[in-house]
Amino acid sequence: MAFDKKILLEPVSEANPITIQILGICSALAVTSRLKTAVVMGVSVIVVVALSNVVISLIRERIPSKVRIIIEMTVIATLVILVDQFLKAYAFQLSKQLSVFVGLIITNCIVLGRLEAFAMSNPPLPSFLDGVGNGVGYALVLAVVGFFRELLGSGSLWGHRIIPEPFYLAGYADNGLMVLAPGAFIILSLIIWLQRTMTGYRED
Amino acid sequence: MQRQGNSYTFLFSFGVALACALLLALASQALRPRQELAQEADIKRNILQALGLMTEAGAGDCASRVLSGKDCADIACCYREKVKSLIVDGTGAPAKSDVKAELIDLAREMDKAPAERRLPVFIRVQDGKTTAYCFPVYGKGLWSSIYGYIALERDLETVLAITFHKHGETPGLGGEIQSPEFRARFIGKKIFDAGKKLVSVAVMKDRADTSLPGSLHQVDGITGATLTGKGVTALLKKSLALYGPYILREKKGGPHGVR
Repeated sequence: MAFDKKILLEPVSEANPITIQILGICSALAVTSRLKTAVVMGVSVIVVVALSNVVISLIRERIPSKVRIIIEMTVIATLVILVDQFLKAYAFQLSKQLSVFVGLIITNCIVLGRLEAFAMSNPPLPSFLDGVGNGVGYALVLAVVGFFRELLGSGSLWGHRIIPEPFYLAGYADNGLMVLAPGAFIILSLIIWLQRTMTGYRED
Repeated sequence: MQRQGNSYTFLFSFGVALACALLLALASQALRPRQELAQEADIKRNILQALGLMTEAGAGDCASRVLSGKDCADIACCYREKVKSLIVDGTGAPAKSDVKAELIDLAREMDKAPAERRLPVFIRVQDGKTTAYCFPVYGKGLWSSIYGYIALERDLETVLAITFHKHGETPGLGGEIQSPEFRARFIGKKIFDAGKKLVSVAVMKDRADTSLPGSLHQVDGITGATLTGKGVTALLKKSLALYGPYILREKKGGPHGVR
């Protein structure tokens, strides 16, 4: 079977789950006040979407259609709990900061959306690529939002101070709005605006 | 068996559920020791920070880096050498507990009768001498339960440091209680007044008036976080009151040498 690059790359840009489909906004707002949490959240979502896509694709012909959604949710929930357990064991501080939001990947529309729209009707390998692509698309946007929010809101990146002390002494102040949810909305909508202007994408 | 039949549906769902449950049980068992280690190291890290043995940035007597396997050992080692933990009951007398001092949940102990309470005390020891005391503090803020530690100097009156390691206050407003700037305001404040009464330290609505003698027991509040400040005032008072008998007993006994 030919390796289809489009499956992998399309969700990163033209069909990005956040900026084009406007899915997964809740977590995009909640975990992006720091770059580190945003990246870890992004990686967690990549893992969950890719693996659940593969699992569902493997058993797609055996799933009774009546309980399709329930089976999908069971698989997603299992994977999310696994990710959460691993974070608790190996990145305790981060898992504390992410708190409930890792658990809430279960309700992230991107995951269930990809299972329904792709994995249910495609073989495992393309499903895996589709999962990784969508996960990366999500993670990228989160990382960009996290980058600007941490830089402007806290004057640091990845926990390290970036804006030098003399700036503060000269009267520069961190923008508190960036730490709060409205800051995420503003950055996110600027990204969406920028991307749509560049690609010429129009909502039908 | 029919694909769309009820029995197939039941069997299939059962199979999936069983497989998922097995996987999760396995993961939970395999990861538990590691998680407990991480959790305990986190608690010890907070105590070390409160006692001034470690800064958030990583400087200090104990190195603090990301919580990897090696650093867990570092924290544990530093903790073992420099901190002594003990358990007292609500009357200040030494007590025994099945739970390790580090893992005691203060929220639960508050509801008990004084004699039943098991309260952890963490003591910074240097060359066999007590150099500082650290107590956990717990209470309600505006939105959430706030957990932290307060460290007192050897006189058991002067605040050495305060930390809040777990809370769900508004980021940027009430959440600022976690910031070094806010916490530094507590340093050097006294929890006893001139009449030797336990008055704790209060977070003011605005600025503490330094011209008044009461300002020794007051710190400036955070703009926009008056209610969180009130919560912090109340939780400090309540938590320190728990330790009142112990503190009085320790003070009467004079500073101890080897403990």
